[in-house]
Amino acid sequence: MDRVVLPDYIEQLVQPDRVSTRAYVDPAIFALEMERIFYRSWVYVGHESEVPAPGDWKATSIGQRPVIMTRGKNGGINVMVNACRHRGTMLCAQNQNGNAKSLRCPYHGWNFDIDGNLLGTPWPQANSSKFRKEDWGLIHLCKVDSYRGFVFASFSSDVPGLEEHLGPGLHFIDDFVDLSPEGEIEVQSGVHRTGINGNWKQACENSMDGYHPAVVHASYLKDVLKHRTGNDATGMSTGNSVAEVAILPNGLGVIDYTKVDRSGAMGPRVDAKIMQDHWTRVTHRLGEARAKHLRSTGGGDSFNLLVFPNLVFINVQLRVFQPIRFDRTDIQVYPTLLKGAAPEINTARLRAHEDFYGSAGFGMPDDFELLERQWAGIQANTLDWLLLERGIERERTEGVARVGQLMDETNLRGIWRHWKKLMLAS
Amino acid sequence: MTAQPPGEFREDRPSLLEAVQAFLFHENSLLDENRYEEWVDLFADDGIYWIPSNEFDIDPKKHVCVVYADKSRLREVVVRAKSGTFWAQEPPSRTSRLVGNICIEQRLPDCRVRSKVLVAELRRGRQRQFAGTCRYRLQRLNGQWKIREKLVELIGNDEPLDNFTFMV
Repeated sequence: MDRVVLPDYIEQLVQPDRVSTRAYVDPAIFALEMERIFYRSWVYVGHESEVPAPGDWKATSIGQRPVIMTRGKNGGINVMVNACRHRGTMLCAQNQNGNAKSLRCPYHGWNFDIDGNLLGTPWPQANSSKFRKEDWGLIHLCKVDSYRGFVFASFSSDVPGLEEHLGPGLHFIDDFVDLSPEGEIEVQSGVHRTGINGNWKQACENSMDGYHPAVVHASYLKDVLKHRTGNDATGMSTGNSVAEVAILPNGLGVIDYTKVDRSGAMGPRVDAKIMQDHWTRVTHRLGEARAKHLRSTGGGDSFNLLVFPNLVFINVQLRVFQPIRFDRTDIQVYPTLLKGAAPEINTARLRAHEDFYGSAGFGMPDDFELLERQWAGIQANTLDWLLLERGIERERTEGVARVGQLMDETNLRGIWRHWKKLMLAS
Repeated sequence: MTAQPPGEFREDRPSLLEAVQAFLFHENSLLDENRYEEWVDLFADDGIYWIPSNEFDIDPKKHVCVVYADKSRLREVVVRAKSGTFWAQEPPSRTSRLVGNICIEQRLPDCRVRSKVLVAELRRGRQRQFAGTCRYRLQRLNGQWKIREKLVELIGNDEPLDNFTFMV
């Protein structure tokens, strides 16, 4: 039986400048996180372009619960529990995509349409007199909404509107998508499936940690990037960099390199003529000022955006953390394509992405190696506390954001404040 | 699949199949022995090493790969391995592999070979197994075998690969 987790216990785990290792390694905390974070908040499910046509489905998870996103008969998006209402059998193969006229349970043959309505049950003469098909359709999540194609859902109806939830994060999502000359991205180029033997919050923190790149990625910056571009871009990642971190409402966070000269940075490298045509089209759609901003920042090339609890926009990718157990996190990395862009640009995005990310990349495996070493260090509660105090005396408030220098731990503190708030809400 | 053509056997000269097999065994030994520099040298200057992600039959121009590396990127792996700060390969993976089912699908000069590989990888106390089909394009250049393309159809390419920074 699950241990009862008392509010006092949660209260003590998170201090302004430190967090208890128990917040990562206690299985009872993990179980409560599912209930209070993953099943009560907006959680990313997928992108509309993954299910372009009626009948298309994608099977994924919210927390530990399997869900499917489908494109309904009339073109709408459904997010439903991926389990037959009869005896609970999973209908669509986990982590797969497909297209179906109807979803037929392979166990006893109950048949649902793509919008989740129960069409029929084999040998219905045995159903009781009280049985009504309309009572036993697939369970729709309480809330489903999308912003620029990014579909979020919630098992709770007690959530704000999606755009209100994303708040200032919307501008970053716009930058990510507006690199496309048609203002749309496509998630149709496959996925890197990877993961860590460690807790999901380690991956969350890592995505918002501007302190580590200079150390963890030193061999990439000095041994690889410098030889390719003549610039190791280490100026981006120092304690003096003008890059900043900011924690936004609802646990959203950003590492913002917008103000930094990223001329040595990694990223797609494409023939100048093709890029010129590209920017002409972007400018035509959005105007000079907006195009200039996108050109100088490169969209997601200039930021990491965390949408708590488990989605991050980085460079060209969407990174999703799937909590499997307290000590196992599957991670899916979807490189995105720019709809309507020259094929050379999209191919270059894929190659630049593989170069650093995925299981064989020059960056992400080093991060994950260190997260596993971190897990090795904390799993037995050897330490009481992990520190998050860098920059605590100099961070500042800007509007709704708390802002610090790149290497400050402002965002980690913000993530944990938000975590504590959600975990204490009964 | 090309078997030894009848009547062409000569005691003093290996068949194409035997020569290719010897080359693949050598290539795989270099990987098992962490002799990456020599392994990279086996590639032609325009050689490609790649592993499709999710499915086998993909167009790498439109679909992501686990790895899609030209020779210069393979050389960068060597440089990183020497840096002492390639954390995901510190310590390096230890591997032992079986190569088999070698079929010659097309003869020289543009030799196409299909083979199976089964790799055990051990690193930091965790031993894993990977398996797949390798598709090679080989050429003879100045009396040497060169790899123009090595494509690995990894059966686990749609499962979490975690740290996959060693070479198959």
